[in-house]
Amino acid sequence: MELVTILRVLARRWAVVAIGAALAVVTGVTLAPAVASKPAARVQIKVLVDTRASRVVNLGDGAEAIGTQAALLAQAMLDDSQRSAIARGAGIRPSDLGVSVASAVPRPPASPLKKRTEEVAAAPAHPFRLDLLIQPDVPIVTLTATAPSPSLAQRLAAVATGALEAFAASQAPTTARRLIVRPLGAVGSEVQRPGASPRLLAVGTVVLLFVLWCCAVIVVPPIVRLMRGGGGEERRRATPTATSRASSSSAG
Amino acid sequence: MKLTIPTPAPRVRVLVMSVTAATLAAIASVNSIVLVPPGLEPRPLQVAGAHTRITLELPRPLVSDQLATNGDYRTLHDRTVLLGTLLTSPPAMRHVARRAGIAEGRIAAVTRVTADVPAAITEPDSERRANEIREAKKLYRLEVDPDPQTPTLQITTQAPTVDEATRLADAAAPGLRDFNAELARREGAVGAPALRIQQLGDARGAVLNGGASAVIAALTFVFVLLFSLAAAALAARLRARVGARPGDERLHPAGERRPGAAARKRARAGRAFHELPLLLSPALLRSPLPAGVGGGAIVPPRDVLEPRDSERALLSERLRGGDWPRTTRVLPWLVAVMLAVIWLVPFNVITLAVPLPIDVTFDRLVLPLLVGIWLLALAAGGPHAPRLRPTPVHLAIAGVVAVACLSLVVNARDLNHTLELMLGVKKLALLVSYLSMFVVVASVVRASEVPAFLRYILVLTVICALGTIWEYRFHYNIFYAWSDQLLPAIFDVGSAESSATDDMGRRVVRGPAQIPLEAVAMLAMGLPIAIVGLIRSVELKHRLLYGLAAALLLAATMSTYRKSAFIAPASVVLALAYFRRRELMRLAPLGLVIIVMIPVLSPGAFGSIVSQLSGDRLNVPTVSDRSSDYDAVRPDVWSHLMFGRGYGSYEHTTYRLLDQELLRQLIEVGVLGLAAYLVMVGSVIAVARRPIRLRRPEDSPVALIAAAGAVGFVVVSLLFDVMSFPHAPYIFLSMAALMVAAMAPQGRADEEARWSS
Repeated sequence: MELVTILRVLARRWAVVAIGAALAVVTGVTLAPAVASKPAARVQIKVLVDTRASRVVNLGDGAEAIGTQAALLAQAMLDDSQRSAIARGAGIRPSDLGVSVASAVPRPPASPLKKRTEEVAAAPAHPFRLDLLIQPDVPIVTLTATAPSPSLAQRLAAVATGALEAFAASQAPTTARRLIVRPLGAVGSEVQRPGASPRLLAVGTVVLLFVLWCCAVIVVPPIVRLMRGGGGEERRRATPTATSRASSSSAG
Repeated sequence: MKLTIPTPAPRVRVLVMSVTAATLAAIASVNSIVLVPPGLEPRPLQVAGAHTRITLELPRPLVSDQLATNGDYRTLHDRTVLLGTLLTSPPAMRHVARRAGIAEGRIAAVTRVTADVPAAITEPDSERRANEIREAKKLYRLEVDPDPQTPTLQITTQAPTVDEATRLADAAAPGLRDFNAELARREGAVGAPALRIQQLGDARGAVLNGGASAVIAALTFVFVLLFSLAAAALAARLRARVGARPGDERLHPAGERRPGAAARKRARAGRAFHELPLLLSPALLRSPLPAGVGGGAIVPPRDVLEPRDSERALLSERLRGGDWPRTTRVLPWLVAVMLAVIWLVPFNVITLAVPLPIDVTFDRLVLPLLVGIWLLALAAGGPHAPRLRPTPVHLAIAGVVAVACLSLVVNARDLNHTLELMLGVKKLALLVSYLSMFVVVASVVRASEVPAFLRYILVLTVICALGTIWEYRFHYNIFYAWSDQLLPAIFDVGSAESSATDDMGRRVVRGPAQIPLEAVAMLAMGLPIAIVGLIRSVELKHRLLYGLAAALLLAATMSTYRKSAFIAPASVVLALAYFRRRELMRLAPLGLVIIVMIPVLSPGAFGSIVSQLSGDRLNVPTVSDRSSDYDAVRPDVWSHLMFGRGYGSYEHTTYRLLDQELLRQLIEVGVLGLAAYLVMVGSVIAVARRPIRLRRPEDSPVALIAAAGAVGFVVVSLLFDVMSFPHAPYIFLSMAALMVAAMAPQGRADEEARWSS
């Protein structure tokens, strides 16, 4: 029943509603493509940090701390020299590349400062991104390369894997004791648009604006009447009524 | 010809004055006034942060050595934690401050405990908290978080500008190296192998609180505007009362004699407050005025005193819409849907899997729809429009919101500095959503619909209880599982591990709630409906059904394995016993049967709780943590005694897990806020007392239920932070709203018949 009343009010003011609908369509269609985010391609690769005689099949001693070492190798990619090397290898400017390392290890709750700083740092401000995920005690690093096109993302992922391997080689005390990085192949590749598509965004904007307009059409007039009601009361106070004029004239 | 300047209407004048005052307050909140030269200077509200990592390595790198052992890394990690702790000590901070070019005394430095230990150990006691409060005022901050897995230190800094924050973060590694070198010199260890301290990339900084000035100004503006409008309305009402002294026969503006106070009192007694909003409804304001009254749309006061034909017509038309559930009105059905969501859906762990600036939980989709349609229906008017009936409960609730808002306005700049302002604003929005549920239900539900709604809630409560017992017995949470299966993939439904146990080895049985204590609160507040139904039942069949419902609720409460499962229902029963001693005594035999049924329905639960309450088992963390809270929160309480530190700003993950809502209120909104909170709950009991005493069939049952629910709510407020878990506040406020709705006197005869059936 309330909906019928609301629809009746809107039907009475159909012209205003129609204007609102037109405005909503124009605004939605004009605005949505401008604010819609650009598509980005993502390639995900997993790499296994291993010993020369693969630890997967060789049950010999050693490499017991390989999970921690994999995490440290991944963290080394945060260093500016590594980031620049990856960017150069991928043919992009170092300033366009953002690198982050996250851990799947449950962390203690962060302070508001750390939480907010991480949120801001995680915002996708760079056109190229390299996100590394490390897991507790598992010598596998997941690299996710994000770029404007699939080929660029593929190249970035390949270069990052190479950089990881090169860094491991550079830090080894001897060739026999070095750790090696084995790519496990691309496990995922997709082109996605962060946020809604322009069409969906346009429809959403039109609907939202139209609903807000209809709400205003219903809500504003009673408020105006309420305000005017106060004015009318005051006018009545100021202006003598016919009865009072008559009584004052008769008294006079 | 005489030129007349039109005077603005009083309401417009008040609005203009309020907006002016609010604008000035908003400007003052983000600017300071400078006298020479006169002007405004923006307050330094910007907060910037930066982040970097420092890794520690032996002189002979281990990172790519397959012979490195876990022992090597454990030793290295221990040294990292040690150096991370030393980094924030005054001797090391001297080096860091020198490198960053910032005065040492202006930097607050802290190393956080990140080891995998129980949270209770890392929570600050009163001394540490007092120091934290003092340090929090400093402009610069350096936080060190040792990584729990690798020999890495995470460095996070705060400063007024991005440049300074980055500089401070970049100074940490060189400062630590300087400190190590100085220590080595002092100890005569120069030349000895030293740890390699390496920063992983330059620090990255950014502004952390973009738009903070706008938020503070907007918050101040809204608060001052609403406060001044409320003050003006109150002043107008007081003026009207003063002007209506007995024997006051002043001429009314329309030239009529204003009725005396006695006459108006008589009129009020006959007609009650519920009809006032009807008279103020837009439909009536639009209705044609009686002859002789012109120039405005206000209904003359004489009409207020005597029911007019048009009012009667409106009333009868409204009644033609039918009562819920046999009604075509949308709003009662939406209220029913919302109640079902509250009782049966774990909505707080169901989020919309769409990237949005705010977390959209399931209730935040349903409630805005309800509130939106309610607002439109209110504005559109008509016979089925919601009727706002201001009562003391409304005022008390408005007081809670006002104090919460005030605490944020007063502490806005401090909260902005600690980056907790937005958290407070979000929690304030949550509080408003709780309270909007009250306003909507109280204005939508008719007095004649209250019994049907109470029966409906009892059915929901029983389903909730059955599901909880099912979870207890079969380790399967139907509420979570079915929500996951029924909702489309766009929703993320949290998981409930029904076989999980807590630190003390107790099963985690939570029903549709987030934690077991929340389920206890829900079921305890639903219990009075069953008991009052039991008291009022005449027929054996009804008595058996209500008794079964009470047994199920108690059994479900026990199945949560919490000591509170004894305390909360007991408080509710005692509250009912206070008001209805004789009736409850008559039900004592049935009570015994119910108690016998509990172990049958939830085998083992009752005994487990009894054993938890034995004297030798009370020295457990859940008890000792609660008692340690009192001492630990002293610095927070005394540093912001009156208005608190800001509503919603005391995050338990940052500071301390408080197992008491009242303590949280005291810290966040101060003495004033705590008083407002207690007054809100007390107002429900106070309003309920009269109908309970008068034993009116139309409103005494719901008043009893609301009063007992309020007592239960206060008791659970002493047991856990109840306002942090939305089911309980929603339930308490919806019960209170139903009581307010039932106390509208229209349709009492119908009501009587319904209750007696």
